[in-house]
Amino acid sequence: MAEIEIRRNRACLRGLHYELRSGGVALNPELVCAQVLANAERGLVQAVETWGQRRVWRLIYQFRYELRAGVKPDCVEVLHRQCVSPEQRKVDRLWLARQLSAVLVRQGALLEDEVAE
Amino acid sequence: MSRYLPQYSEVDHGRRLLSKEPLVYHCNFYNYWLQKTLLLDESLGMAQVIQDAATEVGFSILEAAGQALQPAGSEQKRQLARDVFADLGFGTGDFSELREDGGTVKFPVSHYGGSLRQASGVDFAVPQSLFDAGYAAAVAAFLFEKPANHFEGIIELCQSRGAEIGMVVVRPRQSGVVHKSPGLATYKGGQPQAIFESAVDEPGVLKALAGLDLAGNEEGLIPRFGLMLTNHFANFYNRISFEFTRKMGETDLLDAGEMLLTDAGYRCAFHTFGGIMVSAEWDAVVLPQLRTKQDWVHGMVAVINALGWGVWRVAEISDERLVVRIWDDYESCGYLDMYGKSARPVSHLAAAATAGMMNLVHVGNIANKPELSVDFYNEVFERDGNFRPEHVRSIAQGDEYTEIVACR
Repeated sequence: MAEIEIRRNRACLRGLHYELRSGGVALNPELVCAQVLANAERGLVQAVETWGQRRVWRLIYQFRYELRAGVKPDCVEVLHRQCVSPEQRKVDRLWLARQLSAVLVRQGALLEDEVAE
Repeated sequence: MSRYLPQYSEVDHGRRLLSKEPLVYHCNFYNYWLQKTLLLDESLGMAQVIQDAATEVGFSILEAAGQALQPAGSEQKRQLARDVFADLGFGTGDFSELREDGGTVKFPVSHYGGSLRQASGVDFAVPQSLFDAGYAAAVAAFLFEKPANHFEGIIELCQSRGAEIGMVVVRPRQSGVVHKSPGLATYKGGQPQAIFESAVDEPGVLKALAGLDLAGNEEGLIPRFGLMLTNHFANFYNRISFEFTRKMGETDLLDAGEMLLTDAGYRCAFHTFGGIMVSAEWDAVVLPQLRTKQDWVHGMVAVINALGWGVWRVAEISDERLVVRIWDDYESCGYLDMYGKSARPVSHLAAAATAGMMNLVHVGNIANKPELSVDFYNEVFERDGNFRPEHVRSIAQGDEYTEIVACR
């Protein structure tokens, strides 16, 4: 599985704001969203925002976390909700990191297919 | 997410209203530092002033919203109170147990309880959720059609002190005055001057920022730019700031009071502007347009013009000096309507913000994305030879616009 690094955002808001980084490999935000939506235990609220030239995909698991994909090419932001315990936040981060690892594998597979063609 | 809310509207000079109350964006760091400043001297009685100011604006917005929406009974009124609180970023309040003789209000999530802790880094010795307590009193008055000063809120539990949830007991009040909110200031100044020509496309920045969802999330919080924002009441900030200087003036400490408010403004500039300038949102929307250090100031002024603080215009800029003119600045205009013409300038936040921008850009080299630590604050804002503000004109003193010069 490809490696995802979990880091606190510098502002971090006392443990609410994290970054999941893919070590310079660009993550396809639409694939990220599809992966998370397909595997989340319940429905997520979806929204897309335009930040200048960037499109940012927001997935919200209400009262648990918000995921922002497309903020930076190799990084997905996770904002935990304030009412969630530190233990649950950690569980959520690790679960999301696993989903991103799966996306990286999937992106790699796609590239291999393209090369094969 | 559907909320039961009155109409948001945009009026002249970039000012925004919810119902009849003007709103301004501020973050948890400014809310923390301002409140810390105001509460420094317990003998001033500012804790009660803060609660009463929250009751003033809370009652004003709920009363006006009630007239506009005509809620069908008590449950819908409670929903209105809950949704206004959440949409503006104050958190989640449960007003279901309020009765005609008072009751308990729970706050599972609170900006003033929880997000000020994030700003301070430690638990507080005294509860910080004064706004919540004042708002709860306003909700009770609104629900039972009493005067704004009929109830008071007593903080029983507060997240700022480590409690899991906030809790306020509302009870009838023995005495006390709650001011009537002036609503939107009656300022009728002329047209702002043209935008200073620079590499920054200010209308484009404003349009991009207008596309961001800055409403409170399902918890009633607004995490943006690495900060916890509130879409707050201008009249709340004005009331508590000007009552503070009035009380300080009564003890011949007006100069010190103004200096303290300016210092709270520096904290706002450092954390809010600094937070914005190192944020992913800034990198995406503003950074691609910036070529020079002066462009960073123009970019920040463009963002300020999205905050509801009035119309800011750069009138003159160099690496050593910045002149900013502000039409409809919310501090001065609010002062005029609350207290009448002032003998002194009153826009202490705007002054600090003007100098703060120059300090961040030219002293702190914010373009290098430093960590916004206490050490960095001291390095940038406490050193000799940094930028300091001077009021040149003031709407509160009768001028058409407020003008502030920042130089070393």
